[in-house]
Formats: sequence, structure tokens, C-alpha cells
Amino acid sequence: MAQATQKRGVGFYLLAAFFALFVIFLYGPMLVIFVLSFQGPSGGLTFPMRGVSTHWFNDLWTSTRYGDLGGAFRRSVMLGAMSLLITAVVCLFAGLAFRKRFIGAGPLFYLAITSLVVPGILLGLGISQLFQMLGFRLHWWLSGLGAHLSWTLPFGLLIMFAVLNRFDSSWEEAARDAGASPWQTLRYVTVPILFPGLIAVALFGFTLSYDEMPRSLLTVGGRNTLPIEISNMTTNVTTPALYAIGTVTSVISFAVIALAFAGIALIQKRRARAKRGA
Amino acid sequence: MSDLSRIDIQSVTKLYGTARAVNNVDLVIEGGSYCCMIGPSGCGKTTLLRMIAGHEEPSSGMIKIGGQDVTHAKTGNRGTALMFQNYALFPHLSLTDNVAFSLRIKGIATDTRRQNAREMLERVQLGHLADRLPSELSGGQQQRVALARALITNPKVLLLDEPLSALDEFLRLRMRVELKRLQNELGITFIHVTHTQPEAIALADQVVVMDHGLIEQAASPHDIYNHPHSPYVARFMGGQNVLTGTVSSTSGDTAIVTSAAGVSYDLPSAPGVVQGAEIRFSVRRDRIQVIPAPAARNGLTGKVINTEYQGTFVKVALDTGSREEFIIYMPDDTWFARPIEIGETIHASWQPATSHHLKGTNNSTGTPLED
Repeated sequence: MAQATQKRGVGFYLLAAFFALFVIFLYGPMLVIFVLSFQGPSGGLTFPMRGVSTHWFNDLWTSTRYGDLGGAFRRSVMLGAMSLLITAVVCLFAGLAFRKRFIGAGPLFYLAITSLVVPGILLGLGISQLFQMLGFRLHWWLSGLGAHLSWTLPFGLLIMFAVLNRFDSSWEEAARDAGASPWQTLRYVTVPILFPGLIAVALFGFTLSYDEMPRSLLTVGGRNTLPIEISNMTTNVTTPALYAIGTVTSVISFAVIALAFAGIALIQKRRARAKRGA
Repeated sequence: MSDLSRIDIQSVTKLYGTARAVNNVDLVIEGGSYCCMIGPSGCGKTTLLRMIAGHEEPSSGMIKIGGQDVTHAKTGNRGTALMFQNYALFPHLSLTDNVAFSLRIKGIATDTRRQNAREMLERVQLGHLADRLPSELSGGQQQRVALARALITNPKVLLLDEPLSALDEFLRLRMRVELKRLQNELGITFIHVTHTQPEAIALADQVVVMDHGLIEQAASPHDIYNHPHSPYVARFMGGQNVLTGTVSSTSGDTAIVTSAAGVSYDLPSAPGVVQGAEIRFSVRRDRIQVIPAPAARNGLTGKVINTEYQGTFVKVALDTGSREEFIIYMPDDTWFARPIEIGETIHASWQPATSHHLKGTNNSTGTPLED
């Protein structure tokens, strides 16, 4: 309390102003798009609002002007789901493996990180060239998935390292000491303890894939994913339907995150219930 | 029971790269005894413990429990249970499920194993907290859960890795009593790794003093304390002064040793020493008298550099010209009858029988943890 009554210096106000700017810059555009997506039927791409309606959302589903938006959405969600699953599983085991200083661990780690650093569009180009050389056709679920994994796997691995930092390997030894097999140790001790962290890894696996554009561009073959489709729309579509799709995809991203948090909360609640002796 | 929990360690070596963490160790731990392994950090005591538990495999040698070769047997399948230094309680499980964990692994039905776990928790006076999570407990309570989790497997041998090191002094003394009581009650072998001398002396039937991967001495606490094998053991276990001298004459098993200052000391038992050899011997700090004039034999003179009141005695440190302080534990009433000031020169003397020849050659100081 004594500190709060002290006069604040000019530095405080400068920093506060900077922070306010930062917040506006971060959420302002999203807010503008959100508001404009409820533009009235006769409204345009900019303010002022000409009435409020859900006309442009409706337009998204019914009009044929926007190409295969539904299909693109389905493909992006499927791709995100596959990335989620593969990222979570691979990063769990890779993270566990990297705890042991196996031969080549260092180079392998840097190799994995390299694919984070390489420009996505170049990586996509490389993948499409490789597929053509090998005579495979490009598919969103094959070359596209591979391109996305080159992004989500190293990212997930880095998060996994952070998660494992707080993991005490004597828990595993204690399980072994109680006679548990490696499989039982994984199932009853390692995975349950790491589970909240694994959800975070999986979440990144999904969101990074769901909105990935540069790596998708040259690798998904004939059928586009949602970010590519939206990117195309920005050049073709001149109605607030563009904002409507922005709002819809943002809502979906937030829903996935909310779902993940709900999942973590549910686990904690279940543990609390187990603790009360169910 | 006693033979079933006897441990034979035969020529066991553990290499980490080229470093010998444990170097060709032989040791017998009688079944049903309380064994304390003690030594400074990195002396190999924890590695040896972990090899008995099966968390490390010896590079060579054999470990037998109850006459059965378990050198390469699976952990958790050799009749041992290990209590970890940080307890390693599963953070996602209630105390009941923590304790019941090994029963779950064995495939025992939920109700039965929880019932057993609750009984075990009652036994360590934690029955009322059975549904809590480990993070909701104090250090002392966590330790008792770890103990319960180890004991529910009905081990022949309980291995404790520095079990009391994370507790405060008060709790440490209480748990020490509890461990001893439990060991008496269960009649199984306890192997307890520690770096605290009073803990080892207070608990153990057998104390194993280690240094640099070797067992320096394995004996009863009384023997360790009164007949240390080497200067290292004498210094590490504390309560001793280590002196150096040259053998001036021998007669049977007795010998006379002359110090650099020219004082002679009678060693009542020093078989095998030869004239002219430099040897070391120890004198218990509490068996030394302060006398008014320099002693002709079996004594020395030094300048007081420090005095410390310890309640029941006073610790007086002398500079005798050697690099090692010479310490006298004076009875408090003697000291208070005539207090000794720092800087004063005093004379010490002791009975010839007090001088104990140190046969071993390990002359390191260990970690200066002693009081």
C-alpha cells in the first residue's frame, strides 16, 4: 500500500503508453475485422457500418463465388488434426529420447531446428520438387502433411524440452523400483504426469498447421487448404464476406484453445475427485 | 528371515567411462541388520546402493541377496525397495494410490490394494491424509509416504538414499528414531546411505566408510569410532586427533613412536611396524587431560587458537606446529573451574592405551563435515 501512494515517475507513464500501443496493435485489427464482418447487406469493406447483420456469414455458406471454402476448411481441420496427433506422439518420444545423450543427439537436434529456420516457401518448393523427381503426385494429406510436420515437429520438440525440464526422472525410477515394466512406467507415470504439457504440444501442432500458408502453397497439390483459399479471396472478393471468414476461423482457433484448457481443467478436476477418494 | 535378507557383494566394480565409481568392492551385510554407508560426495556409496537396488548394473562382480545372484535381475524383482532422496512421490496420485502403486503393477484389484495401502499409511501415522496429493504434505510427511510405498512391497532389503538429508534438524532426529524402530519391528535389512556421521553412529549395526570407490572400513560403530582403520576414517568420522611419528623402537606388538617435536608415544598395539617407519596414530579427543607442566611422554604442548562451548563439554583447539589442529574435548566443569583463554599455551597428556595405531594408508581428510 505504501508503494501505491508514492508518486509514479514519468517512466511508468511512458511504459504504460507503450504497452497500450502494443495491445491496440495486437488486438485492434482483429477487432476491426470482427466488427466489420457484421456489416449490413449493402455495406462495404470499410467503415462506416451500414446496419448490422449476419448477411455475410450466410453469404459464405450459400454463395458459389468463394470457391470450395467448405472443402478447404475440412482439409485444414483434417490436416491440423493429423499434425496434432503426430506432433504429440513424436515429440513425446523424441523429448524422452533426447534426455539420454545418444550418439548424434546434438547434430540431430540442430537438423530439426534447421527446418524451423529455413523459409517455409523454400521448404515447400523443395518438397514439391522432390515429389516430382520421385514421380509422386502432390496431395494435401501427404506432401502437405509432411511440409506441416517440418514446422510443427521441431516447434513441439522445443516445447517438450521445456515440459521435460520440470520432469524428475526419479519418478520413472520409482516406478521401476515398484516392478513396473517400461510400458507400465510410460502408461502409469510418465504420460499422466506429462499430460498437461502434452496438451500444449498437441495444441501447437494443430494451430501451427491450421494457419500455415507458405509451406502449404507449393505442397498441397490441386486442393487448397483454408489459408490459401482465404489468401486467394483477398484478391478476388471485395465484400465483407472476407471478414466473415476471418471471424469464423478466429473463432475456431479460439475454440480449439478453449477446448484444450477445458481438457486440462477436466483432468485436474478428475484428479481432485480421485484424491477425495472416489 | 535373516539369511534371506543377507547381502553378499563380491568384487563389484562400476565404471563410468574410465572412472571407477566403485572399485572392486567386497562386502557382507548380515540379514536383518542396519547398515549405514558413509563417505563424502562421490565416494561411490550411492552407486553401490543403486547397484543393490538394480538401478545400475555392475561392470563386473556379483551381488547376492539371500544367497541368490541378483547381479542382473530386474529392478523391483529382487526383494529390494528403494526410498529416494527426494522421495519421488508420484505427483498425480493420491497418497493411497502412491502407496498402492506396486500392487497395481502386480495386478491386484483396486479395492484390495487401496485397503492395503490405507493400512500401510496408518502404520506411518498418515491414515487421515490418505486422499491428499503429495504436494499438500510437509517434508516429513512425504518421507513417511515414501517409506510406506517402499514397505508395501514386503521387501527383504530396504534401501534408503540419504533419507533424512532434506529434513530440518528436529525432524531428522525424530525420523532417525522412527527408522530404527521400524527396522527392529520388521527385522529386514536396512541399508542407509548418509554423509552425516552421528546418523551412522546412532543407527547402524554396521558402518561402511567409503572413499574414492573403495571401502575403507566396514565394522560396528564402536569399532569404527575406537579403532579407525586409517587416518581418513579417523578424521572423517570425527572425535579423533591424528598424529604422525617415526617408529623409534618395537617390542613384540608394542612400539614407541617419536614425533617431530621429539616427544615419545607408546603404542600398545602396532603389530608389524618396523623401526624408522613413519606411521600415524589417533587419540580420542575426549580422553585427553590438560596438565600444568609439559608431559614427558604421551602428551604435547600447543597454543589455544579456539574454544567452543558445546553444552556438555568444551572444544579446545590447539596449534601444535603441525598443519592439523589438535582438539581436546574438556568436561565442562573442568573448563569452568579454570577457563582457558585463546592464545594461552597449554599442555595435554593421555594414557598410553589411548593411542591407536592407524594401519590404513588413506591419509585424506575427507570432507571436513565433522562437528
